[in-house]
Amino acid sequence: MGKFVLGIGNVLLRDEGIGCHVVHALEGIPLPDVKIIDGGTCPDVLQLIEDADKLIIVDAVKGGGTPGQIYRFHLEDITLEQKPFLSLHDVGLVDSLMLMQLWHPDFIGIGEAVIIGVEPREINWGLELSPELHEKMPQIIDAILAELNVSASLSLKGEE
Amino acid sequence: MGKIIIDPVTRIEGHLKVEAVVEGGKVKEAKSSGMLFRGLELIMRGRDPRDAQRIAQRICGVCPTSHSIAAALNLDSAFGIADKIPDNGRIIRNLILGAAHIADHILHFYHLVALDYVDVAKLAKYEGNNPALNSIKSFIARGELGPFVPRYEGDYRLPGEANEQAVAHYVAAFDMRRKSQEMLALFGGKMPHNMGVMPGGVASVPTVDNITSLLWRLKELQEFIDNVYLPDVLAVAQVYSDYFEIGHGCGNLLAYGSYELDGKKPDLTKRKRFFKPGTTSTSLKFSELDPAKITEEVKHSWYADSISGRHPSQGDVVPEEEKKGAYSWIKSPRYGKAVFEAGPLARIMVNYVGGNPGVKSLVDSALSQANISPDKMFSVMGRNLARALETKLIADAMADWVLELKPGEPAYVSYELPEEATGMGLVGAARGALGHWIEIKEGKVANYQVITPSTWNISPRDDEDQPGPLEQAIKGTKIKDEANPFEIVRIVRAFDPCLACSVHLLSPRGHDLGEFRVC
Repeated sequence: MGKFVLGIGNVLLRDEGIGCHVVHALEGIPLPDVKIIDGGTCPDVLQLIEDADKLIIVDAVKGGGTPGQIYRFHLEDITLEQKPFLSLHDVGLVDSLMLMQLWHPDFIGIGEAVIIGVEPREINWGLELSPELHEKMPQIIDAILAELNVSASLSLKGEE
Repeated sequence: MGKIIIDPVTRIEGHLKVEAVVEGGKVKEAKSSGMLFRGLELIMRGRDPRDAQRIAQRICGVCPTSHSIAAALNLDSAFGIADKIPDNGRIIRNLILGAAHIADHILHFYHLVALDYVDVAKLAKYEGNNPALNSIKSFIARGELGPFVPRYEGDYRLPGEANEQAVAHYVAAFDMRRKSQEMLALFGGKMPHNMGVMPGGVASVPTVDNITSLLWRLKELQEFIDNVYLPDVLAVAQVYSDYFEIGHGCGNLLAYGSYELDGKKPDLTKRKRFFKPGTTSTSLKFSELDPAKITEEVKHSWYADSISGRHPSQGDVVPEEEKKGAYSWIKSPRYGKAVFEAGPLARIMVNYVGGNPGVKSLVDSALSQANISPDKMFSVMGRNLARALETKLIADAMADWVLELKPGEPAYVSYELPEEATGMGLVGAARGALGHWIEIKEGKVANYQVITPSTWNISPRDDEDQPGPLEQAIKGTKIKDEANPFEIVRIVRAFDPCLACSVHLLSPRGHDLGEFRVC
């Protein structure tokens, strides 16, 4: 039970890894009762989040905004394409969450998961975030803390 | 003449694309392409060699564990400690890799392959009181068929009750997969992207507690594999026995070997492994593996021809995006200039013909149940069957290995970083032969090369214009309905392809994005 923050993405592809970079930054902030998970590129994270009663997912989101733009939306706002999965890589997070309802009826359901998305600038091989996203980190963290009902001042303290 | 293109790239960028030219109801020519440039090797250069362990795992979200093992073996050999890994470390690595294999194969069969043969939509009319099946029924009623599509009209053949049972197992498989991932996390520290495997051994130590925790989960998994997974695969194989005739492929199989039974031999090809390394072909003769015969060719890949034909230890990445005649970001690995398929089928058949008694007796019993001869294993259904058989072999072996652990003894050996060294790490990953090669100069990574199993299987044509294994498996296939080419999809999925992972971008639907903006 409790609040979960799940960061997903590939840290080898610069801004694609924003979700992982954010959860690593969160690990430096004292947040009792919040579980912080680096889901990496693994679409199969069901067993890690089944006890969540509040789930915040952090990921790169291409929404056409300027790099570093922060989006907040729910999973039901996402298009689920009815396409064949050719490989296990095609089983995305959203599919996983939907499937979770099959075997775990008490799961909070996709309606209550919040996605904090960040517009990437560069998705290319490399370990570092682009400067735009790097600068946006404090705001991204604040957006997550707000979601967790933790005040932003705490985040500043945590970063010192 | 029609052209079928299967390209699931739209949601997740950079994936497998298959093109098949159909003439007179038959595939005349097939092309498989990887649509994402993989620059992992470039990231590695100039870094501390120990970083390779962490970075390589991030290459892939489905198989990070196999990459962690290949990287550890590679660094062990470069650091000169390949023969010094303590038994506890060797065994725990086996358990971590085994747990990942079991989770992977169960996931692959129930959540991808089974849907090709089991009709989930039939459950819309389910009348019984099985809660799992009723929950699927309401899923369908809400129009949420997402995970269960596409459906191939007219080619679902399992009888009603068997079909229902298979769907119920689909739901049960989630729980099994979770148990296997929990086994992995017991020694790997975390999942995904375990922190347990490292050069020198592992970061965890065996305790009575984690041994028992692993054992009870493993027991349950063994029961599931014996009583549900294997029988389901055999049931599908019997009803769809024509798929033992489809997707023959290149007819050459290559396995690197996996699961170390002996930690004292530095040379991986000479070491005793549970699945031994080697090659075989439709002649069903065994040959020893010689890693020096591996090359990568790039005539039809978007890389400069100057790097073609090199051994991976000398490999390079020189992209050439506009190259004429190229159609893939995947290179063509070849063994002695010939086309070879990797995967569970290769592992099982190499060991079957190579005189591995455990493999031989299990395969023989499955062949007699499926009523086929060994050469029919070179097929769609053979690949699916081999995957299930090896899952059983691994789970049963793990039950013995875990009891060989010695609490209180070390699982890690320390080492010194060399200034100049080379290394090689070969392992049988869930999807087949996985190789990592490293060259260290002045204490830093000078070169790092990875050849994944899917690079073998999905490779494009090579310098001699020989098509890759998947391309050959699709060629000649009879297609009943060009608008619904389920034969091709079934062939592709039986290979369990896994391409350089993976851009998980989400795109909100239909809404003006402005309404989601926060700041």
